[in-house]
Amino acid sequence: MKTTIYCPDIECDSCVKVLKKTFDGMQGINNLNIKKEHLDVEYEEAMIKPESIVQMIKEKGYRAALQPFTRKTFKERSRDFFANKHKYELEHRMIIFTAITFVLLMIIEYFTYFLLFRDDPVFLTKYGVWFLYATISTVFLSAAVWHINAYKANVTHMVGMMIGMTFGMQTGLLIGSIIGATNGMFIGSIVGMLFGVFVGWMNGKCCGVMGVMEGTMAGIMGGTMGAMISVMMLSDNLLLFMPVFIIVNIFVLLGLSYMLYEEVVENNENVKKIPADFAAFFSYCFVVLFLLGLIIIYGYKSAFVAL
Amino acid sequence: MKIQLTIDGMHCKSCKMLVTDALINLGAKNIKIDLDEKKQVAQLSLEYNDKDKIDIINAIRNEGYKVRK
Repeated sequence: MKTTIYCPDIECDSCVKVLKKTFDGMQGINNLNIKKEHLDVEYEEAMIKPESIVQMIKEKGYRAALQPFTRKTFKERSRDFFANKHKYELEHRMIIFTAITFVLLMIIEYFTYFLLFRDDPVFLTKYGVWFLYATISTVFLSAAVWHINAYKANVTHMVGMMIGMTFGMQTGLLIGSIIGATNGMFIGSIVGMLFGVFVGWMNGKCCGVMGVMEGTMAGIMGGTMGAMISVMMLSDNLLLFMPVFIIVNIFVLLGLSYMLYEEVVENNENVKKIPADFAAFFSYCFVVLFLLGLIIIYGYKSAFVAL
Repeated sequence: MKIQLTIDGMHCKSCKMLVTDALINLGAKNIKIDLDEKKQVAQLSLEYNDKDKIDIINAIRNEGYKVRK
């Protein structure tokens, strides 16, 4: 009899050696072929059962099973991500789109500055860094939103609530903190809240009313809280705080994309893929950033910030 | 006699198992291996009856690892 035993922990020659030693000269095993992540065994049915082979591998401290392991660890997933370009075609393409969009938007901002605002001596110190953060936030948020919407599948309530809540919260926090720093608490809260509620709502819709509620609540919370962080820290070290804040928020978005892939897409045959369109993605980002730019430069400013 | 050695080229739990097995076959006792997976270096300490530690070193080399001098 021949069988395959799945053993994802086989990483190096030493693992192969240990396993070879374990089964060396064992009665009932005719042939043993150890490969990466699985082994092919030929055995005598009368003398040994495949379950006991699995048990012996487990006793050595490796994971083993007769069925393939469905859930990959983060390490395996990331290795697979870079090795298996075809399977993650959508994601790879999207990373390139995100990078190009970011660079293009930065170039457009640069030229807009030179065409329209070059004569304003305080423009760069006042808005420069906030436009950078706004661009980063817009591009990453759009990429994460796109990733969620690139797959059509049935999701559980838990996943839907997670998606709605994370999007509402992250959108609110990022946009709210940026507008809060440039325009003050009033406009910052309103804009952060509107964006947060809208994005949370739209993405929470995938699991019905629970996701919508969760997205809306998180949007309200994130939007007001983001503006609050900025305004309260304005007289403190806000410029030191922001890079950390932005990076942490982006990691949350990356984590959400990772979670979605593991929970919904992997091993699910009913998933429909919707490839990204660069023109659409870029124009979404452009419109959002244009709106944010208008609010930052021409929007109403609280007296506290306008100084 | 207590022996302490530094072994190069150890990168995972399997390496640890191989070295431990080889040393037990020689009759060593109180084998302790501290593995640094990033640096791929392990600190080994054990008790061994014989005065000559060359057997221990050879056993580790036979498994394919380097012993630092």
